[in-house]
Amino acid sequence: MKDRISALVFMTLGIFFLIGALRMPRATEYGRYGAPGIVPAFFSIMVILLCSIMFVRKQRASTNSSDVPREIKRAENRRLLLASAMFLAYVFLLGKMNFVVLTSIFLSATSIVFLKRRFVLISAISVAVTVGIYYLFSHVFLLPLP
Amino acid sequence: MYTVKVFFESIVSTFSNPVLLFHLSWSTLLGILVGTLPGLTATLGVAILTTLTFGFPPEIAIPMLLCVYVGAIYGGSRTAIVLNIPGTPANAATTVDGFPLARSGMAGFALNVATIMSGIGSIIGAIFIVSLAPALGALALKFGSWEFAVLAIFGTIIAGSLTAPKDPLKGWIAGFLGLMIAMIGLDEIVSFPRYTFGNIQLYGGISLLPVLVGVYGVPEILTSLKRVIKAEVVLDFSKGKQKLSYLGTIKRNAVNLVRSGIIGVFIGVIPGVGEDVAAWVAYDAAKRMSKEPEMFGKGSIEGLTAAETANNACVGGAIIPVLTLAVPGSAPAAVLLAAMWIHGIKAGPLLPIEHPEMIGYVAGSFVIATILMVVFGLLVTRLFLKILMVPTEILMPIIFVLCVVGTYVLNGRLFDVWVMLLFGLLGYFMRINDFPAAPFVLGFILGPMADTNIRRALMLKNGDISPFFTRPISLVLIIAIALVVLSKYLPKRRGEKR
Repeated sequence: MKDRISALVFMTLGIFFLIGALRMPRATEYGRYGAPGIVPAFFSIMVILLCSIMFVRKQRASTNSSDVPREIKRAENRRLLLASAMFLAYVFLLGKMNFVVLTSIFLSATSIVFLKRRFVLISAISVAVTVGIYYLFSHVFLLPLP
Repeated sequence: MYTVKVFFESIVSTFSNPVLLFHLSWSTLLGILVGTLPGLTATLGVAILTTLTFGFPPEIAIPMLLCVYVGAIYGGSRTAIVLNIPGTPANAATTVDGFPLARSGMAGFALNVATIMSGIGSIIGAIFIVSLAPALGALALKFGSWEFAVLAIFGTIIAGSLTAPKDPLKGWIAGFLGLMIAMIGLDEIVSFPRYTFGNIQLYGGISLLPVLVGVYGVPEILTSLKRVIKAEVVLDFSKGKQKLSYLGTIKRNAVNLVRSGIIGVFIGVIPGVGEDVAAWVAYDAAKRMSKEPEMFGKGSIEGLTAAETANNACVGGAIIPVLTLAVPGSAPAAVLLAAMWIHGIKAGPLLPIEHPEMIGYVAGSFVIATILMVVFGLLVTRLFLKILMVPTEILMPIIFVLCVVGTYVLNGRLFDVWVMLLFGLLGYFMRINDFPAAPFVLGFILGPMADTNIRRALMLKNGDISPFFTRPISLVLIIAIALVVLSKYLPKRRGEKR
């Protein structure tokens, strides 16, 4: 089932790229073989073809750990969603807040949420690491930060 | 002969340049640290250092990147041995015998054997860079558009087959997805904006670094953070002080060492395949040739030797096609290729003409990286292992910030950070569905080369595709593609019917 879903996802992507390729100009100053859509069309057809084979073939058992207890799986999914949400929020706020303040809050919050202990120590480490990163990039290597 | 001369000169000049030696030393230590930390790959290490070395001249930046690459591939063996978790995918085969050795109280001996064998593997790699790269460079000068077009497809398909041996179809899908996504941006022949939807940020295409950091870094960080059950750390050095002879171990494993080194180099030369496959193939060969195959998996020194020699020799092999064909032999080599472009060194068939000293210089730097790796490996890695005591929950968010900052400083735009995140989610989706990342990344790198050369080949002969089958090198590559597909797919179908 998992294979069929991923085959469908990638096949949709392939169809999207194929439609885009077919809409590109067919004639160029270098003749029709210089057309920009030729190669994208070829690659998207290959993706669609290979995904079709995967979709119709006999389904294989996944190599992922299916013997993990349901409670652990649920806890892992919760942690995954939480991490993804925190990462998204951090990237969304980049450039809108001061880098040192935002990164210190992000590092402290993420570590505290996942570790659930040593709040003061973690906050201190987060601030120290942020200042370290800031100093390294902007003062040692003279690179711009968001 | 000129390459050999530059090779020796670069080694001598490095040791007489304290500033360069200082930069190479901390880069090697950084590499070992990156490799030691599970979740941080050599690719990520080289990518982060690439952003830090923007301001350095290429003659310092390139050796620094080599040091971090060599150090990271080696550093992964530390966690493979004491934690049973490979620090990088390249060290997966090391866990099989390294961890049982650590559990039997021989952690110290196993760590030192891995260090020495990695060093010897790297030296074998350096020898092949000096001897094989000029020959391959001369051959590459005979390549036309037809050969480069087929080479791009060949690399993607073979990487797909070797990185997904259980289900090559997924490897090929990943490869063609990479080739397809590489089509975003202005095309190189008529400058038509493809799949840009009027977004000016997409006109230049998607940068390689955000894709690499996203596909390799983000899934690893998410996987580490979501894990509820933590691994067991074995730091038992109780039998480490036994009089176990390292020289005797090398002598007993001489054939194994040479064989594994050669396997590593040649797997490294194959586009996109990388150190993990090299280690497994060498491990398998060592097991089949061994007089004590029953010891494999229970703490065999032969198994540890094969895996560690091959993965480091593979680094040398992976650099050879980077220099001569601009085709990376592995994912970290792909970042190295991108870094060379950033520093104005155009790797490929013209490199021996434009920068004749480069092959010898890279090989010399590779030897320096190896020497530093062995010295630091024997002296300070036990200290590094203390870092493993730092909880993942503290370490991984820091790594994420480094990924974000590293991606941002590339062009100074937040767009790249979003690209990194998007490809991170795609990489995670691919990982949980057993699609390998390596062919995807290789496809993404080779996409522009395939696009330009396929169209140029068609334009040159007015649409005639026969030169693809009549030019010898192109024909050989096409036959190789057919053999790879037939050998991987047809027997499996027969097996399924049975």
